[in-house]
Amino acid sequence: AQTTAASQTTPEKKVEIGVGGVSDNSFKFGEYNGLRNQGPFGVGNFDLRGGAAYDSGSTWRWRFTGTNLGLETRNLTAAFGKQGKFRFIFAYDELLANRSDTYRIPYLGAGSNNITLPANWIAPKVPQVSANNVNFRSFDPIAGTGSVINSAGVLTPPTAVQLATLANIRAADVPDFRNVNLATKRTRIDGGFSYSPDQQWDIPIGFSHEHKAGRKALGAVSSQVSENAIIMPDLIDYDTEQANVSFNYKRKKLFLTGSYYGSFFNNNVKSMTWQDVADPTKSATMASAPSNRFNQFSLTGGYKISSNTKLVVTGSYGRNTQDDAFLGPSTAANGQLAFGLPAGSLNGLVVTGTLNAKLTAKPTKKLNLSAAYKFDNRDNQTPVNIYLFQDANESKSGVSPFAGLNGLPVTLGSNTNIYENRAYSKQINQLNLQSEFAVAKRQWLQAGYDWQKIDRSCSGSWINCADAPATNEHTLRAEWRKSTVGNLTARLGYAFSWRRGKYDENAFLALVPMANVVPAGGATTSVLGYLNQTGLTGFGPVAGLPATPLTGNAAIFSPNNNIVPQALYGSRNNINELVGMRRYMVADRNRHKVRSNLEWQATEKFSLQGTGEFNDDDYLNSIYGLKKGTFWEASLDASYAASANLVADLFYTYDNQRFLSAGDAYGSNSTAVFQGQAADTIVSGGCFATVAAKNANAKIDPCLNWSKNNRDKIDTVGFIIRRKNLISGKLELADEVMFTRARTDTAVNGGSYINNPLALAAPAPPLPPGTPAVFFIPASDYPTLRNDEITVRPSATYALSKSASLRAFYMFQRLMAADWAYLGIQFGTGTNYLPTNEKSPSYGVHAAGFSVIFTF
Amino acid sequence: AQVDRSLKGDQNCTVCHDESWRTPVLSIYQTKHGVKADERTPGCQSCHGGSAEHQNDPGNKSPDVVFGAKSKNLSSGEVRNAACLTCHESRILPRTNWSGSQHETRGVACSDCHDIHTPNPRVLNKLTQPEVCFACHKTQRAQIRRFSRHPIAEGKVTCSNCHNPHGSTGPTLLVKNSVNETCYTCHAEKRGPFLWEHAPVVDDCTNCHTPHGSNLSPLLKMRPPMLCQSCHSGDHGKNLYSGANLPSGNATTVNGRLPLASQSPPAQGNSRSCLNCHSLVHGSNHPAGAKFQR
Repeated sequence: AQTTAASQTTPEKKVEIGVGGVSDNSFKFGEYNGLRNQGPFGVGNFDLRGGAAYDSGSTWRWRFTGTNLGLETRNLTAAFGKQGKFRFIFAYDELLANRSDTYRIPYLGAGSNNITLPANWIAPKVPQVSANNVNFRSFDPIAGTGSVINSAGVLTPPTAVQLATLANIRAADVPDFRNVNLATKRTRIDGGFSYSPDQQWDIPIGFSHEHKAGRKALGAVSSQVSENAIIMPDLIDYDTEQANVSFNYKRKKLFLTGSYYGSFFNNNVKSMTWQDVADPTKSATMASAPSNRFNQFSLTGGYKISSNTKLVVTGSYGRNTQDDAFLGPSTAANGQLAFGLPAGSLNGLVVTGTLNAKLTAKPTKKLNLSAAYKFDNRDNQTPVNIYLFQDANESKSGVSPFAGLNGLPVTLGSNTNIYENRAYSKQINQLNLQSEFAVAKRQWLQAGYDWQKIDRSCSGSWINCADAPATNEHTLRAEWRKSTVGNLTARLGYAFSWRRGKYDENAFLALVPMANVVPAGGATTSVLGYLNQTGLTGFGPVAGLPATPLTGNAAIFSPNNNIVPQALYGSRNNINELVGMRRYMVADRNRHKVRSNLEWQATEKFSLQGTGEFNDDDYLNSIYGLKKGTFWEASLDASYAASANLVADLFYTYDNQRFLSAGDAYGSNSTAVFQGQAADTIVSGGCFATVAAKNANAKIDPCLNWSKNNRDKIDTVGFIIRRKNLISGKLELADEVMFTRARTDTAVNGGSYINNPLALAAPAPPLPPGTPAVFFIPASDYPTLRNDEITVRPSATYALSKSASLRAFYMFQRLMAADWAYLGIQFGTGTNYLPTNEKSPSYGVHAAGFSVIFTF
Repeated sequence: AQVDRSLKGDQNCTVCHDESWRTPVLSIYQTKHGVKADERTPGCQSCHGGSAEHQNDPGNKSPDVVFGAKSKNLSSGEVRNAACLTCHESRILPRTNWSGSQHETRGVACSDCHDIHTPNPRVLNKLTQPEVCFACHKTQRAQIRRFSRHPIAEGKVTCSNCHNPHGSTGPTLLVKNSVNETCYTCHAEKRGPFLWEHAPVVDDCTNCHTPHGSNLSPLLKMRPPMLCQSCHSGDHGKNLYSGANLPSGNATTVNGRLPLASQSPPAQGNSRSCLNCHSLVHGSNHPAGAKFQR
């Protein structure tokens, strides 16, 4: 213990050296702490500081620190300078992020940007199901050899030849799967210098370079048609530089600063290429994140108008550019860009501008007022062009109704996407007004009003691109606060916000400029023209079903009033949405917020604190999409400080978060009246008794409405105790116990129709009388997603002498995880995406060690 | 009145509050506030006030400005802050945006977070800083313990990497003008601009992510497909995915693995769900990447 004036006023230097060990390998345990591998590790920390004595005539100060030197999370810093004049600082930091150590793939070349299949790879197919389509059930001897019902309605076991084919696939492919660890590491160097030529000026300068390297999992679809996908080891190789410099000018009442911030991201990987597991003669290429630059200049001025009034104004101007060369037709495999590109690169430019002004005043002793205005503009000035492309690994087919129109190629396929990029811009205007009044001694009442208007648009777009071009949100809030000297503090706040905007259900048309062009085939108006005439959206009429396909302009919809078809957009995806779908980030919303806090210092040694939080978001005009989001939290803390030598804290926190969303798995209306054979007409369950009624109403079948209720329920308990000055002041003990019990449940209401596998066309026999041809299978809840983690971390420090002490530490951590996402990536479970056989990262790991700490 | 900020002036206090005092008062001389050769360095009375009454009657009268959180004579937050802002409002490390900030208007005082006398203040150490913030921010204290989290408990990322507790021009005291600008300081690869932008991404990262911790990796508010279906109801975004579509679900047969008809499309409902194929949700720069697959 420091008991002399000299020891209290002299900077203490500390060096810690030791060794530790980890009981088991676990990427998740070592996700960020560097302890991922079983075995020994070194303990190395130091903190050296010094400089001129406080009572000397010099202001030299220096400090060198190092932490976790034996691990891949090490950090080193060096700082020195003359206080008030100049200061240098350097830092080196490593940060490891482990992602998975159970990931397995058959690909060669992980760690490069071109991964290939081994030479012995056989395209996995289940021959008795399909001779052509990839099917990863073939990796599993049970699932792969499941019997199938043939076209004659007969349950047929696989033949010996088919079984042999499956065996060959397994024998060739399954051993090819090998472990690839997925992890990334950031290595960062920081440098800084600040200089104060006099008391009026400060000039801080900073620079950092960070290199991030490793591998992350990334979904990669090989074929849009068959939706064959793999989870590939995406190569990460980034360099990011950041720089800042400021010129600060200060007077007693005035502060001015001009500053520059630059951020330069360089991706050393331009693309990832992989072979198609279904057809290794094909490869696909995905673009990696493009390099980009951001330069920003800011000006800030603060002026104290009077002793009780202050004005602060800040403005900034930034330019974010990106001009990486596009992957051209030669690297975008298999003719996806067969019609060329409108430009060689994006020439992307986003100009950002902000203006903030805040006036605070205290006109009387009891009253505080503040008013703030904010303008924040993201102006995306990126050139807009039309891009023609086929979907993933798809070749041109059919003839587009726009072929040869508006300068488009005459050979354009009906499956060619004719898309225009949308350069999203956003402008915020915001006003905040607040007053606070001291209603009594140490008791305040606060009231405020906030207004926020957000305008969203796309520069260069042929039509509005924003779901809600303008939203206005108003907030009224109030808060009461009270403190009693030394023993009680209380706070209760409530805010109500309402956000409204006009929703444009046809904003999606901005992506498809041909919606403004009259297609070939007999129509006299464009899609947009027809939608404007009829007041419909791309979804078409919700109800009202003509028995025959539409003709004339109405034929922009698919037969029977179904949605605008892909041929008109050249889009394989139907990009329009359900009528009543509201994207929650702009949807009309009512929000209630409550915050409370109560602190009670019951005795000099014992205190209690309780906090509560409640948020309720009601998307009141959303029929589909996210409809409601609710969050509430309650915490209770108990703290006992028997003395400076014994402190114990116990806390419990409960979080409950809920999202309620809705959708509709509408089908295409059809005039079909049976399934398989004319006699097979019965539907079991659902909303219609017959196949005819079900098919005629597929677009409005109420049984296809669904809802999901996502709920997170999380308990967190913590206990921390510190005991000092045991054994004549030589021993210090500490322990930390943390437990988190986290559950995510997704309850699902709704269901799906499934055809009876035996309801087949002739020559299969009709179903026995009374047998359903179609079943309605109710949805079931997702399994609980569970992550329970407990950590116990005791430590002891024993003073060997005045300048040396021994520290022993131990850590046990157990994670019990269950996640349904892993169910479908085991051999034999997925049908069209490559299994990785990853396992839920449960673990139980011990880490312990000791070290000697020298202080001087 | 001008106080004597020299060591001689300090002796008015250190004559009693010396090395034997119950807390190591003199350790302030290890800190920046104790470097007497720096002409800006305060003396005891610069912050605690002249405290004449206390000097005359130390047993019954407290100093003019009392910072001890548990003291019955604790000065009001306004008074305590005024002591700090004398220098730090405009002249030294100016806290320009403090006035009217969320912390200021909720009665937080500088000394609630800063322990001026210690040479190892918790709030200036990346590993221990969160302890200080969590004294009030209990929700975030629990969130950083979740399955998916930033490395806050490990001391590699700390609260002030993203938040400026002294006030800022950004929302929720963020260090930059917006949520996205703040996130890009570490995740610059998400900045673009991309050829194909995803509207909610350029709008606000927190539309999908919850930065302090989540039960759903990576820091997601909801798990796909539910998250994606909150906004997408066309094509296969309209479909109902549920536990029935998982291996062993109601829509499977043969040891719970063989999909029954077309009702078990695992690619959209299993594994990474929508992200099995639409993986570049933060934006794509591939001319054929409009659907975030390239």
